[in-house]
Amino acid sequence: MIEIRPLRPDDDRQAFSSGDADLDRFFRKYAGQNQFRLHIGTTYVAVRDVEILGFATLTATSITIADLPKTARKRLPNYPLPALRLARLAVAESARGQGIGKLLLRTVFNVAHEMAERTGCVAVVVDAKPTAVGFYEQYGFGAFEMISGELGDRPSPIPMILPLGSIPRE
Amino acid sequence: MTNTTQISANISTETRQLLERYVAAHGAKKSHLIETALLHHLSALDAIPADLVIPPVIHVSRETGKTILDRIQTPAPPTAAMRELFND
Repeated sequence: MIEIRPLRPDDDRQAFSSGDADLDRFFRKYAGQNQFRLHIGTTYVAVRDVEILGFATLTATSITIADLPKTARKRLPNYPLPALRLARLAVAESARGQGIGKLLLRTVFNVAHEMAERTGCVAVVVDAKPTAVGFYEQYGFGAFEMISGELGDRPSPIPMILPLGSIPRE
Repeated sequence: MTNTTQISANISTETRQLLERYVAAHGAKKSHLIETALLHHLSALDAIPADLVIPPVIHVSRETGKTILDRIQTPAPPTAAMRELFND
Protein backbone atom coordinates (compact mmCIF):
# COMPACT_ATOMS: atom_id res chain seq x y z
CA MET A 1 0.00 0.00 0.00
CA ILE A 2 1.49 3.32 -1.06
CA GLU A 3 0.66 6.42 0.96
CA ILE A 4 1.12 9.99 -0.24
CA ARG A 5 1.53 12.48 2.60
CA PRO A 6 3.58 15.49 3.68
CA LEU A 7 7.15 14.78 4.75
CA ARG A 8 7.62 14.18 8.49
CA PRO A 9 10.68 15.13 10.54
CA ASP A 10 11.38 11.50 11.41
CA ASP A 11 11.22 10.19 7.81
CA ASP A 12 14.47 8.54 6.77
CA ARG A 13 15.56 10.59 3.77
CA GLN A 14 19.16 9.41 3.63
CA ALA A 15 18.36 6.13 1.87
CA PHE A 16 16.52 7.84 -0.97
CA SER A 17 18.22 7.67 -4.35
CA SER A 18 16.66 8.82 -7.62
CA GLY A 19 19.91 8.69 -9.54
CA ASP A 20 19.90 12.49 -9.93
CA ALA A 21 22.58 13.89 -7.62
CA ASP A 22 21.02 17.37 -7.34
CA LEU A 23 17.54 16.12 -6.53
CA ASP A 24 18.92 13.64 -4.01
CA ARG A 25 21.07 16.33 -2.38
CA PHE A 26 18.08 18.65 -2.08
CA PHE A 27 15.85 15.93 -0.62
CA ARG A 28 18.36 14.52 1.86
CA LYS A 29 19.82 17.78 3.13
CA TYR A 30 17.38 20.62 2.55
CA ALA A 31 13.78 19.43 2.08
CA GLY A 32 13.44 19.14 5.87
CA GLN A 33 14.58 22.63 6.77
CA ASN A 34 12.66 24.05 3.81
CA GLN A 35 9.52 22.68 5.39
CA PHE A 36 10.01 22.54 9.15
CA ARG A 37 12.26 25.52 9.85
CA LEU A 38 11.97 28.00 7.00
CA HIS A 39 8.39 27.16 5.97
CA ILE A 40 9.08 28.01 2.34
CA GLY A 41 7.93 24.79 0.75
CA THR A 42 6.19 21.52 1.51
CA THR A 43 7.44 18.18 0.30
CA TYR A 44 4.98 15.34 -0.28
CA VAL A 45 6.38 11.84 -0.16
CA ALA A 46 5.19 8.52 -1.55
CA VAL A 47 5.80 5.94 1.16
CA ARG A 48 5.50 2.16 1.35
CA ASP A 49 5.94 0.98 4.94
CA VAL A 50 8.82 3.28 5.89
CA GLU A 51 10.52 3.39 2.50
CA ILE A 52 10.29 6.67 0.58
CA LEU A 53 9.60 5.92 -3.07
CA GLY A 54 9.35 9.46 -4.38
CA PHE A 55 8.83 13.08 -3.48
CA ALA A 56 7.34 16.30 -4.82
CA THR A 57 8.23 19.71 -3.40
CA LEU A 58 5.60 22.43 -3.66
CA THR A 59 5.58 26.11 -2.91
CA ALA A 60 3.15 28.95 -3.40
CA THR A 61 4.27 31.35 -6.08
CA SER A 62 2.97 34.36 -7.93
CA ILE A 63 3.28 35.32 -11.56
CA THR A 64 3.77 38.97 -12.35
CA ILE A 65 3.31 40.27 -15.85
CA ALA A 66 5.39 43.15 -17.04
CA ASP A 67 3.20 45.98 -18.28
CA LEU A 68 -0.13 44.11 -18.27
CA PRO A 69 -2.11 44.85 -21.47
CA LYS A 70 -5.07 47.24 -21.02
CA THR A 71 -7.50 44.68 -22.41
CA ALA A 72 -6.32 42.16 -19.82
CA ARG A 73 -6.57 44.69 -17.00
CA LYS A 74 -10.31 44.80 -17.57
CA ARG A 75 -10.55 41.06 -17.22
CA LEU A 76 -8.12 40.48 -14.37
CA PRO A 77 -6.93 42.62 -11.48
CA ASN A 78 -3.52 44.13 -12.01
CA TYR A 79 -1.68 42.21 -9.35
CA PRO A 80 0.33 39.00 -9.29
CA LEU A 81 -1.46 35.78 -10.21
CA PRO A 82 -1.28 33.16 -7.44
CA ALA A 83 -0.13 29.73 -8.52
CA LEU A 84 1.22 26.47 -7.11
CA ARG A 85 4.79 25.67 -8.10
CA LEU A 86 5.97 22.10 -8.42
CA ALA A 87 9.64 22.80 -8.00
CA ARG A 88 11.03 19.30 -7.71
CA LEU A 89 9.75 15.79 -8.29
CA ALA A 90 11.76 12.58 -8.17
CA VAL A 91 11.12 8.85 -8.00
CA ALA A 92 13.50 6.38 -6.39
CA GLU A 93 15.40 4.24 -8.87
CA SER A 94 14.08 1.18 -7.06
CA ALA A 95 10.47 2.29 -7.60
CA ARG A 96 10.52 3.17 -11.30
CA GLY A 97 7.62 1.96 -13.42
CA GLN A 98 5.18 1.72 -10.51
CA GLY A 99 3.26 4.91 -11.26
CA ILE A 100 4.78 6.81 -8.33
CA GLY A 101 5.27 9.98 -10.40
CA LYS A 102 1.61 9.88 -11.42
CA LEU A 103 0.46 9.42 -7.83
CA LEU A 104 2.52 12.40 -6.75
CA LEU A 105 1.27 14.50 -9.67
CA ARG A 106 -2.34 13.73 -8.79
CA THR A 107 -1.64 14.88 -5.24
CA VAL A 108 -0.14 18.09 -6.60
CA PHE A 109 -3.30 18.73 -8.63
CA ASN A 110 -5.49 18.13 -5.58
CA VAL A 111 -3.37 20.54 -3.53
CA ALA A 112 -3.81 23.16 -6.29
CA HIS A 113 -7.60 22.88 -6.01
CA GLU A 114 -7.38 23.12 -2.20
CA MET A 115 -5.16 26.18 -2.53
CA ALA A 116 -7.65 27.74 -4.97
CA GLU A 117 -10.42 27.34 -2.42
CA ARG A 118 -8.44 28.59 0.54
CA THR A 119 -6.13 31.32 -0.72
CA GLY A 120 -6.41 31.46 -4.51
CA CYS A 121 -4.62 29.62 -7.30
CA VAL A 122 -5.02 30.00 -11.05
CA ALA A 123 -2.52 27.45 -12.32
CA VAL A 124 0.17 24.88 -11.58
CA VAL A 125 3.70 25.77 -12.65
CA VAL A 126 6.33 23.07 -12.98
CA ASP A 127 10.08 23.38 -13.39
CA ALA A 128 10.48 20.39 -15.67
CA LYS A 129 13.74 18.61 -16.24
CA PRO A 130 14.37 18.69 -20.00
CA THR A 131 13.91 14.92 -20.09
CA ALA A 132 10.51 15.17 -18.36
CA VAL A 133 8.90 17.72 -20.69
CA GLY A 134 6.98 15.01 -22.57
CA PHE A 135 5.65 13.60 -19.28
CA TYR A 136 4.12 16.95 -18.34
CA GLU A 137 2.92 17.79 -21.87
CA GLN A 138 0.62 14.79 -21.87
CA TYR A 139 -1.26 16.37 -18.95
CA GLY A 140 -1.67 19.66 -20.79
CA PHE A 141 1.29 21.65 -19.43
CA GLY A 142 2.72 24.14 -21.91
CA ALA A 143 6.17 25.71 -21.83
CA PHE A 144 6.57 29.43 -21.22
CA GLU A 145 9.45 31.88 -20.83
CA MET A 146 10.35 33.63 -17.60
CA ILE A 147 12.12 36.96 -17.32
CA SER A 148 13.20 35.96 -13.82
CA GLY A 149 12.31 33.43 -11.15
CA GLU A 150 14.03 30.39 -12.61
CA LEU A 151 15.46 27.64 -10.44
CA GLY A 152 19.24 27.40 -10.35
CA ASP A 153 19.24 23.71 -11.29
CA ARG A 154 21.48 22.40 -14.06
CA PRO A 155 20.57 21.59 -16.74
CA SER A 156 18.16 24.51 -16.63
CA PRO A 157 14.57 23.37 -16.07
CA ILE A 158 11.87 24.20 -18.62
CA PRO A 159 9.10 26.26 -16.99
CA MET A 160 5.65 24.87 -17.87
CA ILE A 161 2.18 25.94 -16.84
CA LEU A 162 -1.24 24.30 -16.62
CA PRO A 163 -4.38 26.34 -15.86
CA LEU A 164 -6.42 25.12 -12.90
CA GLY A 165 -9.43 24.87 -15.21
CA SER A 166 -7.72 22.05 -17.11
CA ILE A 167 -7.47 19.94 -13.95
CA PRO A 168 -10.45 17.81 -12.90
CA ARG A 169 -11.62 17.96 -9.31
CA GLU A 170 -11.37 14.74 -7.36
CA MET B 1 22.40 53.38 17.07
CA THR B 2 23.68 51.42 14.11
CA ASN B 3 25.10 53.52 11.31
CA THR B 4 22.77 53.73 8.34
CA THR B 5 23.42 54.14 4.67
CA GLN B 6 21.27 54.65 1.62
CA ILE B 7 20.76 52.30 -1.31
CA SER B 8 18.86 52.78 -4.53
CA ALA B 9 17.26 49.99 -6.52
CA ASN B 10 14.98 49.61 -9.52
CA ILE B 11 12.05 47.32 -8.69
CA SER B 12 8.92 46.36 -10.59
CA THR B 13 5.84 48.54 -10.34
CA GLU B 14 3.94 45.56 -8.92
CA THR B 15 6.45 45.05 -6.11
CA ARG B 16 6.35 48.74 -5.30
CA GLN B 17 2.56 48.64 -5.15
CA LEU B 18 2.73 45.66 -2.76
CA LEU B 19 5.22 47.56 -0.62
CA GLU B 20 3.08 50.73 -0.53
CA ARG B 21 -0.04 48.71 0.27
CA TYR B 22 1.69 46.88 3.13
CA VAL B 23 3.15 49.97 4.81
CA ALA B 24 -0.16 51.81 4.46
CA ALA B 25 -2.05 48.92 6.02
CA HIS B 26 0.39 48.21 8.85
CA GLY B 27 1.84 51.62 9.54
CA ALA B 28 5.34 50.23 9.05
CA LYS B 29 8.31 52.20 7.77
CA LYS B 30 9.38 51.29 4.26
CA SER B 31 13.04 51.24 5.23
CA HIS B 32 12.36 48.86 8.12
CA LEU B 33 10.30 46.53 5.94
CA ILE B 34 12.91 46.48 3.17
CA GLU B 35 15.78 45.84 5.56
CA THR B 36 13.88 43.08 7.38
CA ALA B 37 12.93 41.39 4.10
CA LEU B 38 16.48 41.64 2.87
CA LEU B 39 17.86 40.08 6.04
CA HIS B 40 15.32 37.26 5.85
CA HIS B 41 16.29 36.60 2.25
CA LEU B 42 20.02 36.63 2.97
CA SER B 43 19.41 34.34 5.93
CA ALA B 44 17.54 31.89 3.68
CA LEU B 45 20.41 32.00 1.19
CA ASP B 46 22.75 31.11 4.03
CA ALA B 47 20.56 28.21 5.08
CA ILE B 48 19.98 26.85 1.60
CA PRO B 49 22.49 26.94 -1.26
CA ALA B 50 21.57 29.50 -3.90
CA ASP B 51 21.09 26.85 -6.58
CA LEU B 52 18.40 25.20 -4.44
CA VAL B 53 16.43 28.30 -3.52
CA ILE B 54 12.96 28.43 -5.07
CA PRO B 55 12.28 32.06 -6.07
CA PRO B 56 8.89 33.21 -4.72
CA VAL B 57 7.95 35.28 -7.75
CA ILE B 58 7.94 34.50 -11.46
CA HIS B 59 8.21 37.46 -13.82
CA VAL B 60 7.02 37.09 -17.40
CA SER B 61 6.91 39.42 -20.36
CA ARG B 62 3.75 41.12 -21.51
CA GLU B 63 3.50 38.77 -24.49
CA THR B 64 3.97 35.63 -22.39
CA GLY B 65 1.60 37.04 -19.80
CA LYS B 66 -1.10 37.53 -22.40
CA THR B 67 -0.74 33.91 -23.53
CA ILE B 68 -0.94 32.73 -19.92
CA LEU B 69 -4.00 34.87 -19.22
CA ASP B 70 -5.73 33.53 -22.31
CA ARG B 71 -5.00 29.96 -21.24
CA ILE B 72 -6.28 30.63 -17.72
CA GLN B 73 -9.44 32.32 -18.92
CA THR B 74 -10.21 29.70 -21.54
CA PRO B 75 -8.67 26.52 -20.20
CA ALA B 76 -8.37 23.55 -22.50
CA PRO B 77 -10.40 20.52 -21.43
CA PRO B 78 -8.46 17.88 -19.46
CA THR B 79 -6.29 15.73 -21.71
CA ALA B 80 -6.82 12.00 -22.08
CA ALA B 81 -3.87 11.34 -19.76
CA MET B 82 -5.32 13.72 -17.20
CA ARG B 83 -8.72 12.03 -17.31
CA GLU B 84 -7.06 8.65 -16.95
CA LEU B 85 -5.04 9.94 -13.98
CA PHE B 86 -8.21 10.84 -12.11
CA ASN B 87 -10.09 7.70 -13.16
CA ASP B 88 -7.46 5.31 -11.77
